[in-house]
Amino acid sequence: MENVTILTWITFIPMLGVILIPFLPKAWEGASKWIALVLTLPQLAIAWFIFSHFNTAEAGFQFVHGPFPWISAFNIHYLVGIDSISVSMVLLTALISFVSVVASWGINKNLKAYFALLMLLDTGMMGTFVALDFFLFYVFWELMLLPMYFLIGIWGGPRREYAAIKFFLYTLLGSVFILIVMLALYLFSEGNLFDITQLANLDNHLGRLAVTDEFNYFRFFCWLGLFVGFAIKVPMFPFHTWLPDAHVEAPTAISVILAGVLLKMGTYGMLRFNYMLFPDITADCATVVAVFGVINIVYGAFCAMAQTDLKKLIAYSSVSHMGFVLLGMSAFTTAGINGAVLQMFNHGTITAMLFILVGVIYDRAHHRDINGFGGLYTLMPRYGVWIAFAFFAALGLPGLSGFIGEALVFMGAYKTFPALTIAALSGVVLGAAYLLWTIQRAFLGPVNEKYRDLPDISVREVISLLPLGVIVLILGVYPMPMIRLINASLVSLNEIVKPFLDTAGVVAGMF
Amino acid sequence: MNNIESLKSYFSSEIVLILGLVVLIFLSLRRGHSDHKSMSPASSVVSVVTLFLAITAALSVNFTESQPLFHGMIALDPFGQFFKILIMGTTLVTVVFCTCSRDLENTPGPEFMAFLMALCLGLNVMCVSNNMLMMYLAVEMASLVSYIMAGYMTENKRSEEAGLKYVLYGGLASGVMIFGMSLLYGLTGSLDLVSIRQVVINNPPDQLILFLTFIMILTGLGYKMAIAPFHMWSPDVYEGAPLPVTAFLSVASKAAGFALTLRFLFVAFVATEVEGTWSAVSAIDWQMLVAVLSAVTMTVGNVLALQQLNIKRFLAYSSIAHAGYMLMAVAAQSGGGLEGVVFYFMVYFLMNLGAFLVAGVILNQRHTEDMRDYKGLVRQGASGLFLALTLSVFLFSLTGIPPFAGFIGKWYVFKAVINAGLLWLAVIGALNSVISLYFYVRLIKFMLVDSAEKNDTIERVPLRFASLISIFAALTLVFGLYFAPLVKWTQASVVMFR
Repeated sequence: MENVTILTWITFIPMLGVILIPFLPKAWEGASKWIALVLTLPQLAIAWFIFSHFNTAEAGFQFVHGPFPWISAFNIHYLVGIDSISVSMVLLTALISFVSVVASWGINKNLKAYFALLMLLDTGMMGTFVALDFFLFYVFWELMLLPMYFLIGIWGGPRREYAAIKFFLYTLLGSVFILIVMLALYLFSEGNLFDITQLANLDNHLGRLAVTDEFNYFRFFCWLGLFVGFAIKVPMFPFHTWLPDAHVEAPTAISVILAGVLLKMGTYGMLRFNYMLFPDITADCATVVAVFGVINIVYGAFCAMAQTDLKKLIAYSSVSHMGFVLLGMSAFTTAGINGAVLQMFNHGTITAMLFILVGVIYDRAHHRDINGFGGLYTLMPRYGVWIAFAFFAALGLPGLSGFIGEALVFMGAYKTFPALTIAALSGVVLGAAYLLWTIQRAFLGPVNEKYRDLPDISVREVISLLPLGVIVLILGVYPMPMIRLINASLVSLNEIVKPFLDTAGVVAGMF
Repeated sequence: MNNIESLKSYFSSEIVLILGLVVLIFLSLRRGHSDHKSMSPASSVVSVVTLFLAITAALSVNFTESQPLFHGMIALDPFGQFFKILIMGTTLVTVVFCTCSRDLENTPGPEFMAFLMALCLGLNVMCVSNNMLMMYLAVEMASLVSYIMAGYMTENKRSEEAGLKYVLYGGLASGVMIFGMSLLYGLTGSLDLVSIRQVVINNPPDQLILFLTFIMILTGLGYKMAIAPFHMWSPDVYEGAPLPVTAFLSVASKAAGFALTLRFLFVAFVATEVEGTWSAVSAIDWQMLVAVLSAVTMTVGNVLALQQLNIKRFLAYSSIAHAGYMLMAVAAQSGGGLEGVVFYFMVYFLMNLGAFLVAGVILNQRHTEDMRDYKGLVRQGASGLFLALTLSVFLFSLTGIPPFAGFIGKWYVFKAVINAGLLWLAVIGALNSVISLYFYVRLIKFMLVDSAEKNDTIERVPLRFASLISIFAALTLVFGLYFAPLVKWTQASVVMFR
């Protein structure tokens, strides 16, 4: 489908909220959450439309809107479109946005500002996934930082200011590298391009400089700049230290967005830019990326095991789970790369559930110390069922979606990196260990009398969990719809990179 | 073009300024001393009308080629015109700023405005000087008036200190500069920048002496631009001077310094081998020199700003850092770099003056320059909300993140630098903007996140301020998303350098 406007709609519908909500009179402050909720519904509807009308056989971009000249003097255009790398992320963003609005229902401080910022964040996230012009992408990418900073900094926990500025500084550090590479690519591409679809054509780079050492250096440093920029967002070891702080201090709904969508932008950016624009360098560096992926998996799991704060534990488990994505991506097998993108989607849904569930208990007990609970199953049986469901999904129990993604990653990665894959498998064992140990400490055992009259999970909380739970279950039993959705472009991406895997390494030759 | 022709058709905005200056002087003589102890409306009206006419006069001249006036003393070109309009625009904002400023409450209006007009005139001439004699005269005219204005709050010790410091530094810097100029005259036998270039290219003098000469002149220029290592005066002067004067110095004085430096470098010390490309003359590779100065300047500015809690000192260090960013574009040595400087000044004008205006409103009401007193501003009534949000817009824009205009300014600069192959400089610039985020966001955090220590509300912001602040904030946002109109103006401004 060419030149349909739906991607523009799905991106900019939340902007209505940014414009409307600040003008609500003080007495009607409560209406801001309803406005936010109503605005996420059409997003969901459009997401469903995209899901049902997406041509799964087509590897190229679909639902393209544009290009419309924006700043014609610099060849900047408004251009949006999705292929099967980004389609699952668009669906995830629509879903998580809705869930996060429901999860924010209990916010009672500065409602108008909160929901206006949340809607701005929504536009920023959606725009990042649909933008096909590098400049546009960068504007959306940075646009997310402002609301995120305030949402953590104003509505967060006790150390919120530290966490918020740390998040801001880290992410900006990453994005200035992306900015420099964006400009370098613009200046050195034939015809000065920002259009990603055209930049992906290797000939457009080759015009300015012959294939010389100098050219390869240039491309390697471009690759590195992008990689570091995106790795900070993933977050990849050793750039992960902002994540536990941000997660612990952020309010529940913002943790959900952070884990559900923002982390995926890192790996999405790698696939979209590093893989599409620099397949040769990517092929050369694949092993390094895989090693970092395995470090993430194992190190994240060990860190998670050491935590006594429930939220911090889940934050580190995110570090671990995003490692699977890195490992799968760098294997260059159909199963591996499909598994990686599937894992991105699954991690988004599962971790979102986990954070909502942590929020539920925090709202009631006002602490998150795993050792401070005990016997919660007896007290809150329905909550216990949800916790068990989400934890088992997170540790990769067959029948739930987490398993499918991880299994595909391992199947794909084993062919390329057998030793690394075996090391990564220990992450699954460790994952089971820290999750089950947590269940044992907090939910089983003798009842802590202090929490005798904690109310069980409420209907609103179930509403925010239900869509995620249903998806986790369906994809766990029958993942084909999602795999079919993401397959086409990933296969073609693999085909682009593969030829470079066997040829002599460009990067290895440099050093 | 003979002198009379030059005078009547192309020097009109300066003539208007001189007439306005004369009127203001008469105004200050006319009344008795007793009843003009404050900013009188008459003097403000005269100044506004003068500036308005002067800007109109400058806009009405159309040309694309450089015109030598007064036997080549002055070059009239779109580049100089751009900076003249920028400076007069800043003066106009400053006049409005002065009418309602606590620092200038007891200042005789006509007298102060006359100084302001004289300063504006001096800076205008700086932008168009094409001859070393003219350069020096313009710099001195601007400097002398600046010294007086920085020390204008006679009852305030800090202000007096600021004035004196400014004089001492300025005296030294211009002494070094004129010594350099005399040496350059001795080496090349000419005061005219174009003829100097001929000599430097065709018949280069001894390299070491030429280099020393160049450094000496750069000292004087660097002092005007407030770049490291000639920046030491600026935090103290900015802190001590009346706030409107600080705002003025941080934009207009810097702009004139840059205009003069660019003209000096790009007329006298470049070799144009191919149309549209430049390289430094073989005798002096000033590209590396400027690149290093720029890296040092922005790092010094940003790192020292981290510690500041006084809003004036904070903005002083921030403006040093911004001079560093602009210098990056100068080091690019290209048309794109010149466009970068011009574009950066447009957005710098908006965001820096905007920030100063908000600081001015708070100074008037709260009598404080301490940034910790900004805590919880957003919750202190509708005016507090307005001030906190607009100042946040300006500060985010100063940081250089989208969707604010400051980002586009940085974008321009980085583009030029990367195109020139100075990737290391771009990386330093990028890291610097990360550092700068910390202190800009700290002030934003004070205003939006922290809660107030005292619970009083901000009174209504005077309409003049409110409208100026809103316009600047709106433009900062609009140009961040759609800057195509500025691109044209930018390109037109540097057209004659091509």
